[in-house]
Amino acid sequence: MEVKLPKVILTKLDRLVFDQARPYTMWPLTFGLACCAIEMMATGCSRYDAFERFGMLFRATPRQADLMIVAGTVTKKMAPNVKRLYEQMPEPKYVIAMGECAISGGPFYDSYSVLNGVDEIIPVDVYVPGCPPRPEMLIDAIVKLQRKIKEGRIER
Amino acid sequence: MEEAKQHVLEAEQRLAQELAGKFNASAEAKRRHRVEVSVERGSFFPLMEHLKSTGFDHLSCITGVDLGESLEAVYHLWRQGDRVLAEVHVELPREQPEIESVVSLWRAADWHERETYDMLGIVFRGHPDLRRILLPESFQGYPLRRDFKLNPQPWYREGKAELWETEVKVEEGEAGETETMVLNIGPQHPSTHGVCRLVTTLSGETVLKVDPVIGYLHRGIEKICENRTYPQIVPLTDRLDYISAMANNWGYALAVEELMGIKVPERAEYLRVILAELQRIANHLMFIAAFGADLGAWTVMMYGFREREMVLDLMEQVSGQRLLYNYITIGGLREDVPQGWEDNVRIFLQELPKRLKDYKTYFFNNEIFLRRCRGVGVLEPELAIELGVTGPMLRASGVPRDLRRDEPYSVYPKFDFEVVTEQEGDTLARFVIRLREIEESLRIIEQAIDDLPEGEVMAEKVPKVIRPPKGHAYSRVESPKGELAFYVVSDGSPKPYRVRIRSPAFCNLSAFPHYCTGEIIPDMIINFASVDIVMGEIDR
Amino acid sequence: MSELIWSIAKALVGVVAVILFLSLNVLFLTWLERKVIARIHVRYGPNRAGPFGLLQPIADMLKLLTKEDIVPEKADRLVFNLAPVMAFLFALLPAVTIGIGSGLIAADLPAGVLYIAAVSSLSTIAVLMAAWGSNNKYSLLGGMRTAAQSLSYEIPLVLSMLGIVAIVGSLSTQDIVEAQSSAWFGIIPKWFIFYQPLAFIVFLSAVVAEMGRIPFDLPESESELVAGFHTEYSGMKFAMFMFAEYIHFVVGSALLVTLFLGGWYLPVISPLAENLGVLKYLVQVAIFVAKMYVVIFFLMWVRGTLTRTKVNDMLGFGWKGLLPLALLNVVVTGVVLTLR
Repeated sequence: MEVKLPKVILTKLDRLVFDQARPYTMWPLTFGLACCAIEMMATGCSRYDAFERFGMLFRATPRQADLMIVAGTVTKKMAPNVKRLYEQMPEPKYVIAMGECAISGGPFYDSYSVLNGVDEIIPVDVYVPGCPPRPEMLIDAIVKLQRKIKEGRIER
Repeated sequence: MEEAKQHVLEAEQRLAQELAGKFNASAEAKRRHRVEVSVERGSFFPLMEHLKSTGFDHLSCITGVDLGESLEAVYHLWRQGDRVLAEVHVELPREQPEIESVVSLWRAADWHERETYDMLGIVFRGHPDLRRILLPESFQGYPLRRDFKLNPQPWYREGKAELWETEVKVEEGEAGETETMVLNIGPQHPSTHGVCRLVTTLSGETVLKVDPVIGYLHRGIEKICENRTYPQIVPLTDRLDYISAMANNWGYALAVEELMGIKVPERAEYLRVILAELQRIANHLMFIAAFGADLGAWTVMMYGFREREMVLDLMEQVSGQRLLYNYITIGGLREDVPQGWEDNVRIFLQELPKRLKDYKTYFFNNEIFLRRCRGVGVLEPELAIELGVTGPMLRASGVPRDLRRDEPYSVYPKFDFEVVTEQEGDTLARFVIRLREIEESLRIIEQAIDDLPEGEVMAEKVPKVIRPPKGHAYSRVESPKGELAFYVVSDGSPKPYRVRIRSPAFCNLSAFPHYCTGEIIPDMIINFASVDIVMGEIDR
Repeated sequence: MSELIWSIAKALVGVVAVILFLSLNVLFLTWLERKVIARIHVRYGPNRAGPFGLLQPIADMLKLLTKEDIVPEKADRLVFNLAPVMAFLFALLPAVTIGIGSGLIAADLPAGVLYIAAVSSLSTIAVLMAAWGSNNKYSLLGGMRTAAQSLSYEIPLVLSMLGIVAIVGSLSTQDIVEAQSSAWFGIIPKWFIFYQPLAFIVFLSAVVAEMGRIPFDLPESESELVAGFHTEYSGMKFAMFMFAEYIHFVVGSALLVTLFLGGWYLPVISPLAENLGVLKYLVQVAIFVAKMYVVIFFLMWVRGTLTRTKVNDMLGFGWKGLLPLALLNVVVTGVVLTLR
């Protein structure tokens, strides 16, 4: 039995209720590629504890994750896997590109096997510069993403 | 001490004369621990056989260099008895770069030869399975040849992004065969080891064959190095083994300092030792954390990272960076340590042993942990040496080889430390040895901090533009994972001609498939965790 | 006729009460677990969503409600969609015969313990349905291992309850708690943990394995190398599995409290509360819930401390360790009772 609510009401409901709840329970996919992954792990550990405090639980399977933090260099060999993982995640999903390599190729920009930024294959919501970014910067990125979701500025 | 020096140099000269006489080669004793041999392709294999039979049991590295009109293969072999490293150069014609494979002599050559084939197109006759290792099979061309140009305008993205699909050749069983199954683990998996893919062939629960597929993090660092100046490569070396960045910096700096003949001041040497040992502690703590995470003990991961943060604080005070320091540079250190840093190190030296007691209680009173790790993944010492394994993994099998004592560099001879070994060679031994190495490192740091001399930290006369004279150098350091070596070829210009990085994790991982067959999957995962790999170093 | 309506109404009220009680506890538990584990890890847990992070479970629920529901292309649709519902249902079934106060029980079956033993093995079906319906050979492997674990530990679980049944002489959970409602010298309660210590240890280990918690968390560890059985589920279906897991947790702890820790009886306070009329029920519920949370906290503590076991170790421990102990316990109890 399908109840068809007018699109206006659905969108308002989505914005008012769900978008206020989603920022507090984004579940990242465990997806560290290179050096930035170590900083991501350090951010999640006892000193900074960025993830658990915001309610972010790491999930191993893309079906249950809704945030993908691309941490590290995306090589052309790894790129199909990144794309496939992104497509396997259910909507609504967000992407944070962490580190210079994920933004634009970083120190390896002229290499023959490095993708110049992960936004060549998937849409990115927040970019975190740094090589590697400090944990505080990653926390700032998470807060920015939270604000973006609450204010409805996610482009789809 | 003088007799030891004299004895060792004599050994080199004797070897050089012997090889020059027998094999129509030109041999020279370059310096302590180095004998350089250039041989024709025809007498190459007999020379290698002779070397193997006279005690050169460790194949350190196989490098390929594109010399313009010809290609060159360089082999580095080590004899533990009188501590001699033989460097064998073979020149190959460009149109037909073929040479006999030495896999039958040293099984460690397996992956090295595959990589040289992958990067330069040198074909090794007699190799059991010569296929590309870092790049996908469909890749055309050989990146490390001089005519392969890097991306000239990287910021101009034309068209769609390139995605390289990887096909893994799986041996098909007979139709209807239900005995074996191929399981694919990775490249994305929840453990913290990075993007490595293990293609496992199983029969029920038992592992029949494991084939690691690497190259998912291949960034082409060796090729990029040819496009950067010597000081610009130092931050690039950080990104190799990103968990222990200081060791990489040091290895590279040693190679260039040897090329240029720079003598590093004493204070810098002591500080380098302290930083390297601190880095070793940080690395082993990270190993313990990752090991615990693989076992499901997230508490250990948190505690391991907490202790590691203490070391990272010290590093941050020194270099401003938490993870990738760019601090040990050519000629010394980038700048002196801040005031009060030595006191902080002393406080750290007091704190850590208390915390280590917690770890010991956690692990060694835990029956489940001991049952999981004891007797699992036993690596025999002879097999380990033959497969090119170095570092804590080798010492856990009872072989007492340590570059800090065997081929001492910097001021290591001044310190009193023990080369820690364990006898069983199983996963528990590989774990215990790293705990004990942390304690040894604490001892070394304590001695170094007490004797720290005053002075400059940068050698005088290091020019602004570093232009080493023509030549090549091979430097080895004992990184926390094993033997890390850099082979730098210079042609007199500000950019190096060739940089080859011998990474310990690469060789340790190549040994992994050989001793983990016959186990069940959870055991294999624990084995994999105990190898302590980091993909940045393996794939470069 | 009115009898029938009255009994149906009573049953409905009981079922709704059970579901409410369980849901509240589960929501609270998701928060509590993350906080307790975080404190063991020397860090804070969730503290952004609401004061002290108390609104965290609600945020989780809201998010999972609106996730896209993905069904794999070649999955067996009926089985795939039915599995989470079955998991939830089968997790709820044992809860109807566990009472939180004297008479505060949804269905006081005279064969309560037998019913629990029978029904608690049904959850394996849901696991296998999920594993099969996902059309993913790794899920299937993971699901089969989970099923193997559940089955292996069923038997010691049931056997350890036999001793108690023999002592009490009745299978009803109310009677079991009544039998523990007295004390030596008025202070030391006559709980079955003192009468059947061996059974207690066996039951504790078996119930941890049934819940799938560390050190027996094979269902979750499988995601390390193979996928767990709920890998292909997203959104609300996954929420149902999570719910089912926490319901197992609560029901298992409640069962432990009922069987071994005296249910709602506390030596000094319960006799005092007898005279309070309706308030006595409140006191009983409070005592029961408090004891339940002590057990829950202990199990969370164990999770933060121990590591995972290996597959063969876990199965070996179940069959070669717990089963003989449980049998021994039954024999010893039988002998002692006959001699009395």
